[in-house]
Amino acid sequence: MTERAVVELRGFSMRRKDRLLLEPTDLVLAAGERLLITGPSGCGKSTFLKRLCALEPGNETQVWLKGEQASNWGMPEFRRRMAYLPQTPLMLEGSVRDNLCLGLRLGVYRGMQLSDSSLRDALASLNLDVDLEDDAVQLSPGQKARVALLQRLMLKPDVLLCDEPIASLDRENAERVIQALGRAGAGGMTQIIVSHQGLPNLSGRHYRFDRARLERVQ
Amino acid sequence: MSVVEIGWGQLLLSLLFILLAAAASLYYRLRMERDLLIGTLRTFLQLALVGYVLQFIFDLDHPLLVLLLYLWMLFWAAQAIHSRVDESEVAILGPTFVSMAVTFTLITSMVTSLVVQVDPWYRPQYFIPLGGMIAGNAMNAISLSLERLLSSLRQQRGEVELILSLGGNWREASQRLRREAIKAGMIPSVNAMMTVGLVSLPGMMSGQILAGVDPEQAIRYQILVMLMLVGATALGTLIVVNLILRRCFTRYDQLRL
Repeated sequence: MTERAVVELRGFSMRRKDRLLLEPTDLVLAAGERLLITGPSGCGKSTFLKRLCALEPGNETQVWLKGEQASNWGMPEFRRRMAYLPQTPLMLEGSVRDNLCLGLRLGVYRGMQLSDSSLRDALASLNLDVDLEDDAVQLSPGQKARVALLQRLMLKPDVLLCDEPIASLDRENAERVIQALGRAGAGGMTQIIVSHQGLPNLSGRHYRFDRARLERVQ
Repeated sequence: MSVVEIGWGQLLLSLLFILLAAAASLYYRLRMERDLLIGTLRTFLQLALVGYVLQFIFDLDHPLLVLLLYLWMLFWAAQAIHSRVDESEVAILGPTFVSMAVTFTLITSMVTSLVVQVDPWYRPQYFIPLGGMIAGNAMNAISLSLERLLSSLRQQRGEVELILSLGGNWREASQRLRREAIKAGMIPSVNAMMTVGLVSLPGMMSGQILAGVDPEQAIRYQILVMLMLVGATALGTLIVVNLILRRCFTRYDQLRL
């Protein structure tokens, strides 16, 4: 195993019922490295992300995070380090602050705190003109998508799995999100980003997911 | 005060009520005549049968018979919950049976031995009717909370997976849904305490008054019944929700449903 591998997949294959979604695949990602995956809808891109962080069963023993499998980390610690952002972000009842700090209620973040000023800075960095007291459920889809991204970025995971991060955003806000992902990557956060339209201005290894194969695009 | 007895001839007169319903069914084409007929026959048969069985058990006064009847009730209650909560992904029969058995046994024996202080505590005249009320209410509460738990885990899948994906364990991810499921099972018996005596007189109390018991005694019994049912629904839902919830998640903290 590579010394500096953050994520390593060995013989990672997916099937659903009788259908093969992905042939056995090996993959290594270093700290701060970014993987961009495009592919036709329904090919299994979203399933790939959910199985990487073991939200969906099937691949728990084919993923190594910093040299350890999920069961060695313990699921809370593993998922804390391998954060997953779904395509349709969900806000729970409560304020924007409640949602941004949702993780802090969990045992795995015991002792961690986020000040209001750091939360406001984060909102401003993504051009989010909302108040910490605002009702999160009432936000527009584009605002929710950005709050959900911040919800994860602020918890500083080792790896961020992103499903269609800019699909619901206009061009200007998509640009902000891409910048934020770029900054997080420069800070050492490994990223795996799935997107049907591709992500301009974001560097990384580009793979195409099609016909049960992940193929490198040059 | 003596009880006015009802003879079988008088009882047949009460068939007039059924005829009234049957006439309505014919006139409005409700097609309920068949159900009315079967229902009436079953009411006569089942209650007559249970009457003889109870008479038999009371006469013999043997603990083994009480135990048999207790197991019979327990089996049918668990069976009823199992068929009402139609669940294919998670095995519910075991936890349902355990929660029914613990609730039924614990609450009923506490009521007869500690509160009413019957001697012996399993005396059938007390154990069976009180236990029947406890089992019936626990059965309803358990199936209500199970239905709520399983349907909300499915409907709120996004919320559960959001918390899991942030690093929550299965307990943290289902905390809110667990609370709501337990509440759903307890609410009917708590609400019953609010309206009892205002809207309707409970069946047991009415029965005791009809049987010539001093209303004050009947009321004391009814208060005991109201309180023990709250205890039974709380205990039953608590046990079943906690036992089932763990089974809804895999060992990797994934939602199984």
